[in-house]
Amino acid sequence: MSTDTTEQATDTPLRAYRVLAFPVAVLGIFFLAPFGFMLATSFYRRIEGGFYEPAFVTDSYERLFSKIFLERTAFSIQICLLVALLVVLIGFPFTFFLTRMRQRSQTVLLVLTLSALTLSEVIVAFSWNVILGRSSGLSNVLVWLGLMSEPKSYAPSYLAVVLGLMYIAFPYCILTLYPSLSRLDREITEAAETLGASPWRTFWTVVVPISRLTILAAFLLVFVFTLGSYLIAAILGRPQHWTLSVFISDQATFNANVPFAAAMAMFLTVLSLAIVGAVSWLGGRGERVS
Amino acid sequence: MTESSISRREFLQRSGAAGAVLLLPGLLAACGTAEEATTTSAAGPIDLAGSKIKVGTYGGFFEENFAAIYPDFTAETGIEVESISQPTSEAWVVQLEQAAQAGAIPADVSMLSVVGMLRAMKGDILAGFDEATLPNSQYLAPGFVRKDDSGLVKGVGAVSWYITLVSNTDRVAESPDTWTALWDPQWADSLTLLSQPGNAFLLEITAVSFFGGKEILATQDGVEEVLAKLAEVKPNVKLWYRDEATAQQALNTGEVAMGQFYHDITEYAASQGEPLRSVFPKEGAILDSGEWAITKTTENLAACQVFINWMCQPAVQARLARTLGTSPTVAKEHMDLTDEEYASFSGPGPDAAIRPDYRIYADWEDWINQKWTEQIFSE
Repeated sequence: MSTDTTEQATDTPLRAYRVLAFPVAVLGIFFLAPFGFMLATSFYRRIEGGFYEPAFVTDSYERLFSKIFLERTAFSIQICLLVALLVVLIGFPFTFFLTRMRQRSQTVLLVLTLSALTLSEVIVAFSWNVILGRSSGLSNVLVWLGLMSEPKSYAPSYLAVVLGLMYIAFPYCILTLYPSLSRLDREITEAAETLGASPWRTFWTVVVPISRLTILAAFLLVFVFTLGSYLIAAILGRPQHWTLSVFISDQATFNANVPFAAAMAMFLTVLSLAIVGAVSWLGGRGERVS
Repeated sequence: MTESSISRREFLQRSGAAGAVLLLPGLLAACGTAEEATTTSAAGPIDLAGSKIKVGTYGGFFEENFAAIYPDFTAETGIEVESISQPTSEAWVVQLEQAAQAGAIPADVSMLSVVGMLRAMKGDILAGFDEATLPNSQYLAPGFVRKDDSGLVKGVGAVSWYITLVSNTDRVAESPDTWTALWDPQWADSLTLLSQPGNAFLLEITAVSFFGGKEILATQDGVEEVLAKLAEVKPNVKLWYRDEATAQQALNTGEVAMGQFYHDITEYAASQGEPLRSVFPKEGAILDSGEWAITKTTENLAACQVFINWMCQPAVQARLARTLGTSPTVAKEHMDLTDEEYASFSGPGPDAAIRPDYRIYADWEDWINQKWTEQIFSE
């Protein structure tokens, strides 16, 4: 470790570190300081029926390990892993074939896809509520077409939460995959096709394996992003579909139990970092082995 | 009703206390012109004309109707009011506390529910003041002036509201008139209920409907027994709502057939053409209240006091009842409301209502919250 630092120090002019000083300071002030404050708050003493006071107690962490909150955590991780998997499964081929289109078509499709980023999570959640609702939703179209006897409601439900999360995560997945896939050397795929592979065979046997790290990055980004989303689950899910983020929000905003909310947030952060670390390590190890 | 033919000013003159209270600067401010809007401080009278306060009430129809009244207050006192749309009290109190810590004032005066008031008092984020600055408090029904241990006023009854059984008329031909209907399997996956124990008061509803009264809530064992009964309602609930806008939308469109909801907002929405009806259940509707509270960090305490005093006038309370359908905090005999009008917003009246057992939410808050999460929100 120390050898690395020395080598870097000799290789990098002091000026480069001065350039780094500003972003590091900004990061310290706007990320680390609030994070430190949250950590401290998670140990504060809760005043029941009131707010909280500075102290060093572990009550909030003890409550965190009750059965119900561990169940919620397991559910949150499960649904976010599923969403990440589905989004990457759809997003990767979409982005790959997008990069193979003419420049003009690429621009139009990219703008359309990324325009979803301009919508707030509230709008997205309520829109899906309407689409899946019984009074004005898709099932009315199916009834009109004679495919269903009466309109049904599909929200709130597990399916609605998955669809909502996929919708908000999809543009981020594309944003992560696009730069790498658009730089992919065309000669590689052309070589495969010259040897007689179909475009799909080329895609699965050549493009996917060499893009493994990019896929992993997109998967992790979507996982972490959806883990932090709470409005989608709160609006489109039933209580059993609420993620830990919903409970964090409820504790902080309705129960004034900021220490417990902070403890849950810390737990979620550590857990997601552990999962990101584990998946990255597995992915990186696979890369070295191959 | 004899009161119906007399004006507010005449009424004040007839009441025995009128002569005395007219001498009080607070009332002068409330009834006077812009130039007369004064109050007292240790240093003497302060001219409040031109000062500005921010007043928070629940958003939507509620806030719109309150905001429509404020210009009259400004015309009489010269104090400008900026109307703030606030979320439900439980969330608003937390925002007030954090803002107070940061030195900001999101609202000088807020309307807080009783549970919100208790938390705000415990957290010491409210200003306290002498009841003498509030001459119109004499018209309030008993229990609507909340004081702290030192005798200072912290909360003043703003309006009361009933939580009733509300249904969509397109989906429910004839509404049930009992809370026990919530447990009826015919309503599987079609109800909406409030999701927070501290503003849903479903424990009280269950206790009164199935356990002969609220007495069972006196012990934690009793609360657990009631929660177990309440948990049986889960298969019928489609939407557990946090904010009323979500439930109102679901009720208006018929996404849910029925549920517990606010009587005043329902009546107002129905008058605007929405397919809604509100029924006072035979076990009693929930009667909760909003209280005016002044944020401790306000720079305009005197103007806030004048505002609260003005809102306590019988005429203002009657006007609110007529436009918004809220139940007044002023005693019935002081207002010119007819029996029909009174019944339209109070049903069988406060005596037939279920009063929330606020103590359990203050004393056992985290315990109830944990049990609620385990029993109501688990699969």
